Amino acid sequence: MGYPERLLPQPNYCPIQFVEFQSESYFLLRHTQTPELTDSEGKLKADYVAFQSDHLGDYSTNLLGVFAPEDIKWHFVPDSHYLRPWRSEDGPVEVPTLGEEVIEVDNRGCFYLQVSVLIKAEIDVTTSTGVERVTCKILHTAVRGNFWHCSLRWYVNDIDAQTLGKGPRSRILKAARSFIINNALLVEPSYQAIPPQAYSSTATNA
Amino acid sequence: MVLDAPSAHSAGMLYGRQEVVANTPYQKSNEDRRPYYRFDGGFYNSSYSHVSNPVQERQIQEAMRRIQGILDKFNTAANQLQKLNKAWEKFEPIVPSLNLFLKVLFGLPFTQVVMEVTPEASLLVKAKLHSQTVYIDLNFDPELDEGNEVMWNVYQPGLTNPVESLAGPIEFVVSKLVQQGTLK
Repeated sequence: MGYPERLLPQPNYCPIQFVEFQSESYFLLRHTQTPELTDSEGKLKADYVAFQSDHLGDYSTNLLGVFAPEDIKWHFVPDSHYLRPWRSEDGPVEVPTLGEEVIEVDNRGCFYLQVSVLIKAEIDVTTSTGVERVTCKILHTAVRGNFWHCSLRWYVNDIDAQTLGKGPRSRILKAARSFIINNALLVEPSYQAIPPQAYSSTATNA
Repeated sequence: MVLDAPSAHSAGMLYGRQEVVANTPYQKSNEDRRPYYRFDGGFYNSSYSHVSNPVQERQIQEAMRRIQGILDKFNTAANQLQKLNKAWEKFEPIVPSLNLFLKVLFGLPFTQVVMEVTPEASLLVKAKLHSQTVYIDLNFDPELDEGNEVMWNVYQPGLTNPVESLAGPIEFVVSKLVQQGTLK
């Protein structure tokens, strides 16, 4: 079986705005390199919330729905043009060649994050200088090989964490880490795909 | 680097030290093999010999086991951190802060304690405190003003946002916890 075409951007697709989705049936999926996700007490291991401070703005996930849990096996080779950001004016994308542009990796694991929980994230961090409110935004960061790729970005008092100094960034990282560990779902939830009107300019409202 | 176990500020801490003695007959060689705490004065005194109530005694034994477990986990995690952090010797000045950190752990009835070294080389403690889940993320970094920073996050079951979140040097966090009565 080759790389599924359903994961590729189509000419009639447009960027997804996550603020519009309050339903509790939408989830993001994050894959891990091994299926052993939990520590001895059943919580998600910290290893799987590795932001690398500089990548705080791109905690890579996929929107569950058209992207299915079994799609975590697809791995694009480094520097593949399929990893470049997709723009709606790019036009059709050809299916990547298995074994050249994309390979299958077995034995990966994954966990899930509820979209509505992330949108409503509010962590009021008390520091020696006052209270900082940490919030999360889900950005649709489609790439040429995967329309369903999304990123989590963290903000402090509405300022993007990536633009802050090392100290505040480190605090946000820690707040985000425990938030993700605490809210990660380790078994596949009951989910639904977002409506086509949310990403297809030719879909009609029912 | 050698971390002293905290001196006897609370019953928990005292019993923790006794458990060390109870499980490990004191020898100089033992001290060398377990570098993160040191056996010193008073270990051979049976300081809980006044306890005659068997229920109390069982509770004490239980507390001793719990504290010993935390100590063992801390030592394992500290070993990993030491290997990861090439600048470990620079952290000698913050040993008192580390002792304070241990005091936090000893002072509260944590259960299900897990300690992990994170990919960013901080020490993450996950634990249950009554029905709540507590995350303590402790970072050692010579570039930080105080050389360390701790984040304390508390989550209640059923809620997705934390009910408490504190961040700063460990002295700040501990003083806040004392202020609000979490720590006595």
